[in-house]
Amino acid sequence: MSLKILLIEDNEQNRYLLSFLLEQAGHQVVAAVDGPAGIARARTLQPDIILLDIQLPTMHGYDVATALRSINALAGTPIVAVTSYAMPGDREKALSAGCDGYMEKPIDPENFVHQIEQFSHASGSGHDGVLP
Amino acid sequence: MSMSMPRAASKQQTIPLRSRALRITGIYAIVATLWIYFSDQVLFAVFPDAADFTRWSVVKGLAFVALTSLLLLWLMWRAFGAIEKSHAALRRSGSDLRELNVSLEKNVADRTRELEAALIRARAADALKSAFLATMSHELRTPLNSIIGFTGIIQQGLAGPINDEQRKQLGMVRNSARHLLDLINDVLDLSKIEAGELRLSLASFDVRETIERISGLVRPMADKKGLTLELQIDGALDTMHSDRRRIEQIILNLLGNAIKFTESGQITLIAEREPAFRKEADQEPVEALRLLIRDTGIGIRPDDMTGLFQPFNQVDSGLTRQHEGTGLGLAICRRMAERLGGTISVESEWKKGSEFSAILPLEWHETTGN
Repeated sequence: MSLKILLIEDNEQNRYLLSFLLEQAGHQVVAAVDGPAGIARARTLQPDIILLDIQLPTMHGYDVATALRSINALAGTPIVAVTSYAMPGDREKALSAGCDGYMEKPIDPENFVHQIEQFSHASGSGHDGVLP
Repeated sequence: MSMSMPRAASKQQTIPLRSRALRITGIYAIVATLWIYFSDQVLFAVFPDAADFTRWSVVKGLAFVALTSLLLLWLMWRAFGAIEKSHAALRRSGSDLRELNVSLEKNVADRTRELEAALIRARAADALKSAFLATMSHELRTPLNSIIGFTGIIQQGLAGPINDEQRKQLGMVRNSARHLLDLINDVLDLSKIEAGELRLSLASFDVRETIERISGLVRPMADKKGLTLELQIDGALDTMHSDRRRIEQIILNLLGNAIKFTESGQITLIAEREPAFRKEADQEPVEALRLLIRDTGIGIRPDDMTGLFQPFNQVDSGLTRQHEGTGLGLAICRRMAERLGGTISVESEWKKGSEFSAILPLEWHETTGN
């Protein structure tokens, strides 16, 4: 099943990397470079899943997650933080800001797509929502 | 009579002064009485006439008053002068004391201000350190994400076909990037521990299952080098309440080192119950897990033993280095073991092998220490 994925990521290389991996697997990726652009795209796109970097310019990732969560139309859309924050409490902060999952960078290029697909499916069938 | 109290000493001085006053007054009373008595007799003998006697008696009285006035004046002059002098001395020492007091207070205030400033600086440095760690972690991982990610993509042939040499070289890029990531993670781990930011996640878990699982992870490494890996787990060990992930990390590191530094022979992991472990001499003894990891490897030179648990203190450092590793493993293990109320130590014989021993309390709670 092809997924419609919104990717909010400011780093060009990482944006390209994640888009490439996901598109290679047959998914549709729409990228946004910061929070406000991402939120605007999310409203019109109605994605199946949102991948969110946390350290973003102009608007912090946690605030973006909270803003996305407040949009009714996106109530069932899983938000996965894909972040290089790896300090204690970062996972908890991301989850309490409204993210459903948390992935640490660097991502594993062999398993990344599989993890996202699994998360999207599991989330669709209503599990508790935290990636392993 | 000897008295040592200051109050008693000042009292001692006033008593002779008062008795002196008493003596002077007494002598004066006697002399004056005798004077009045005898001088009147002498005067009467010289001036038997009543009118003459009365007149000279007045003169004699006036002379007496004048003389005694002078005497009184002289006495008071001396006494008051002495009092004034001692008052002045008192005032001087009083003002000296006040000055001393003021300078002491100023000193104390200065020191307090300095300490407060140092504390504020230390706190700021601490906050800066934490912020720096978070930033470092992020800034270093972001480019590594691209390096590892794109290498993986090309290696998998997702970006087009590659030949075997290219695949081999990309594998080297990937390994180097992984090694760099391990270094970053280890440095961060160590810094988190040093900054007191290592959060423990305490829960009960099965000791035997944990040891067997971790041994399973390293067994392929041992098999590859033709080493036997033997486990001896005490049947009395069942559950433990501690941070499972950290304990796994310690076992993994010690086993990994044993395999890394052994070319032939065997690695033995012995896990036993230690009934009375004391980390400090004054502590109540607690039940603990004792892990012994013994190898038949190259061992450690006595000179290298001391710095073994220090960060970046690899025994084979420099260009001649043969063994992969960040050089932070043992430093992290020791700090983690300490954070969990335990210790790690080592015994080794050069060219014969090493035995690392970790002792970790079976029940550890945050409130128990740290």
